Amino acid sequence: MITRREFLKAGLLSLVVATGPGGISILKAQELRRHSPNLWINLSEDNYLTVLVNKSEMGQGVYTGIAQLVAEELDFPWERVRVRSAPAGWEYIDPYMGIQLTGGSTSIRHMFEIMRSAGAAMREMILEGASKVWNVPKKRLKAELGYVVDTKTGRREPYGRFVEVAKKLPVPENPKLKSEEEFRYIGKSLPRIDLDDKVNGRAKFGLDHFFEDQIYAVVERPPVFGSKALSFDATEALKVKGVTRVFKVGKGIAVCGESPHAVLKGREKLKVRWSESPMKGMDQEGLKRHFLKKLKEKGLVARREGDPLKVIESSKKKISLTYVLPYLYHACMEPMSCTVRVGKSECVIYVPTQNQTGVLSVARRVTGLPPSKIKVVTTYLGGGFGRKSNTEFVEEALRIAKETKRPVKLFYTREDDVKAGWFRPMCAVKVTGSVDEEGMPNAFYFKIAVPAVFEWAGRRSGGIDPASVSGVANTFYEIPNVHVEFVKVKLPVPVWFWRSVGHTHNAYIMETFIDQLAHLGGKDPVDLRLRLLELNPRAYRVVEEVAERSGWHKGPVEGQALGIAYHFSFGTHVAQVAEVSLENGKVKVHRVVCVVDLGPLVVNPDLVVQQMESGIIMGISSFLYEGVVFKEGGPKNLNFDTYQILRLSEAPKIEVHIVRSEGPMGGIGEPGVPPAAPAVANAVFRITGKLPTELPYYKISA
Amino acid sequence: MNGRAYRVEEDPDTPLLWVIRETLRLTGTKFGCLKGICGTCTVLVDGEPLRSCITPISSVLGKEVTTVEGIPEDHPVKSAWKEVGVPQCGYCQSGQIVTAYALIEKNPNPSEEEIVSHMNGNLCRCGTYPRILRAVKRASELRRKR
Repeated sequence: MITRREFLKAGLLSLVVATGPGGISILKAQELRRHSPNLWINLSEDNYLTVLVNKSEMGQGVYTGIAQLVAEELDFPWERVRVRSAPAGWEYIDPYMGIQLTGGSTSIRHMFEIMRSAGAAMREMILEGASKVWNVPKKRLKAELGYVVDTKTGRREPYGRFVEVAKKLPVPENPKLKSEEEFRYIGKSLPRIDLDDKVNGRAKFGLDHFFEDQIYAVVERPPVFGSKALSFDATEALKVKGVTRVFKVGKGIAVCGESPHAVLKGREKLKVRWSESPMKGMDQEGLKRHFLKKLKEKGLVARREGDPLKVIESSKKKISLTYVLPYLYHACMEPMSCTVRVGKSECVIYVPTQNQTGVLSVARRVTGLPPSKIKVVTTYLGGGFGRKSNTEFVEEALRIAKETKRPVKLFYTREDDVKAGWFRPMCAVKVTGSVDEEGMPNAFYFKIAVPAVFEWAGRRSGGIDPASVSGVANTFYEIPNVHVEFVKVKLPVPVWFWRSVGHTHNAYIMETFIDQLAHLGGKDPVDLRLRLLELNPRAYRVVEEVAERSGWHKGPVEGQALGIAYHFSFGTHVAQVAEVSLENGKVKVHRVVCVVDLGPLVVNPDLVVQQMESGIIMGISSFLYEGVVFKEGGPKNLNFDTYQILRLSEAPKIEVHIVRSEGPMGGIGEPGVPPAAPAVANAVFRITGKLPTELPYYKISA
Repeated sequence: MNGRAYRVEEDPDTPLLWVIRETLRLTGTKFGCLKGICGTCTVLVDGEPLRSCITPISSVLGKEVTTVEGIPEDHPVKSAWKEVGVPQCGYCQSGQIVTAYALIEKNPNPSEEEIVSHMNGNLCRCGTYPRILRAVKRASELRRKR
C-alpha cells in the first residue's frame, strides 16, 4: 500500500478530492492538513499514473472504469495507468453515500464527475507547468496521451517532466471537462486493467498475503441458525499435530494451528454443545408453512391506488397465484477469508471486502485502536454479489488474532460459507389481478411475507423494508388499481443483500404475473407491456427493441418458446428475451437477447456487456437450481454438489445491445439479474402451460 | 513444480493445494470447495488436470506439477483469454486456464462438444462461460497457427 508519506515525497504530483460543506474540490496532497481529502491520483516523474480506487473490484470492472475516467481527462496512455485499492478511511468515502462501500450498482455513477474532475485538474496543472518551463503561452499547448505538445513548434515532452513544477502550482478550481466529441476513452471497450494479473495468477485475493509467524484458523459454526456454542471439548482436536489453540469466537468455536490442513483435521475431532434455537427441527416444508402463515397476517401497505380487491371481485377474468421463493446463497467462488495482524499499536487487515467503513468500525471495536492505526488493504474479491459487505468474518478474524496474539489467516470452507447464512431472503407472495373487457389489466394486488434485509444490515428498524417491495411498489406499469403490502418475517436465519436484492424475487413475480395477465386477457406479452409502459419512453424502447432484436414477432423456431421480461432497477432499464426448449423435462436456454438502457453515456461498453452476461447467467442459475434447503433448522446443501450453480454446458448464447437515452446514468452491476429468471419462466409457461411459482425449478435433493 | 524441484516436509495426506499455496506460496492456485467439485484449484500433474484440493501430496512425489504460473504468458490459451476478455472477478480463472491448457496441448483442434465436456467441471459464478467457450476456440486457432 502507498503511504501518505510516499505520496508527499518528491517525484509525484498527487491530487486528492476533498469533500466538504461547499461540495467537492480538488486539492494537492500537500494541502491535506487543512481539508478532508480522498481519492488520490498520482503522476510520477517517469510518467506513470497511479489511481487509488475507493471502490472494490469484485469482477464488475470498477478499477478499469474509474481509471478510464481519470486517464480520459488527463489524456494519458492507458498502458501507463496503474490502479491500487484505496485504504479504508474517512478520506475515501463515497461522498454520495457518506461511507466507503461498493454496492447498489453506484460506483461509476457516483464517481463519474469526481474522477474526471481530478484528471482534468491534473491535466491543466501539467500544461501550466509546461508553459512555465518552456516559457510559452499555455493556450499554445496541448495535452496528448501523456505528452505536452507545443502546437506551434511541435515540441513534445512527457507529462512527468513537468511534475516538479506543477506541484508548486495552484489547483484550478473548475477545470474544463472534455466534451463528448473529445472523448478518447469514455465509450471505448478498453481491456480490463486487471486482465493480465488475472490471467497469470498474480491477482491477490483474501488469503494471498503472508505474515511471518502467521497461523491459520477455521470456525466451527452452529448447525442450526439462532444457536451458538455453549461449551466444547477440544481434547482430541488438540492432539492433532499442528493444532495450537481452540476457543470460543462469535457464535462458534475457533480452531487455530500451523497449517490449513491441521486446523481442518483438528476441527473434525471437536465436540461442541450448541444452544437451543427456535429453528430447531425446522425443515423446508415447515419454513414454507411458516411463510404462508405470515402471509395471512396484516402487513404494512407500501402503495395503494383505487380499490383493487373490489375491482378484481367484479371482473370476469381474474387470476390469483401464490409464490414461494427460497433463500439464496451468494456462492462467491472465493469463500469468506481474511488475513490480519493485530498488534498493540497497529492492526493490519487484508480483506476482500465491499465495505471498508464497516471493516474499520469492526476493527475499532475489537482492537480499541484509533482508525489511524488500522490499516485495511482491500484485496481483489473472488466474487462479492453483496455478501462481502457483511463483516462478520472480519470480526472473527480480528478476535482470533487478538486472542492468539499471532497474525491469522481465517478461511471459511464452502460448508462454513453456507452455514454462516446471510442469504437472499426466502419469501411467500400472494398476487391477484384481473383484466377488463378489453383484456387490459385493471387491478393488481401484491402481498409479500419476507424478512427485512435492511433491518438485518442495521440500516433501518421497523417500517416497510425497502427491499421487500422494490420493483413492485415503484413499477412503471400503468395499472389503475394497485395494492402492495409487506409482512415482516422474523426468523433467526441471517439475510443480506444478494445481487439486485429485492428485485431478485420481485421481478420474478411481477414479470411472470404480467405474462399471466396477458394470457388471461388474450394479449401478446410484448404488446401488453408496450401498452402498460406507454408513459415511460425508456422502458417502452427497451421492450420494443428487444422484441425486434430477438425476432419476437416472427415467433420461435420449431420446438422452442420465447419468453420476455423487462425490469427497471438501480437506474437502468433492461429487457430480455429467452429462447427456451424442454428436452426430456430438462430446460434448455438456447439464447438470451438483452437490451439495456443505462442512460446517456457508457464508460466501457464491453464491461457493460460482461455485467449483462454475468447477471443473465446468475439469474438463470437461480431459476433452475438455487435454493438453500433446510433440514433440522439448518442448511443442508453445503457444497456445490447439492447447491448447484449453472455450468458451461447450460449457458446460453447471449446477445447484448446497449441503447442510449437522455436522463440520469444508471448502474450496471445488478440490473442484468432480475429479468433473466422470469424471461425463462415465461417461456417455460408457453411450452408447458404451467408457471413455476415455487423455485428452484428443479427440486434439490440434499 | 513449474520446472523446479522442491523438497517439502508435510503430512503425506496434506492436499497438494495447501502445499502449492501456503508452503510454496504460489497463490495463483485458489481453493473453492475442498471436495474436488468446482475446479477452482485445478493444476496439472504430469500434464493431466487434477483437483489439487483432493490430491494428497504423497501422490505427486517425483511428478511434474504445473500451475497457472507455469504456463507461459504468451501461450495461446492465455493470449486468447486476454483477447476475448474472459475474467471478471478472476478467482476461478486459474483453474479454467489450466484446464483449457491441458485440452489444447492434447487436442489442438477440439470440437465445441469436446470443449464443453472438457471444461464443464469448472464452475464460474461470474458467468464467464460464453467467453470461456469463445476463448478456448480462439486458443485452438492460435495454437494451430503456431
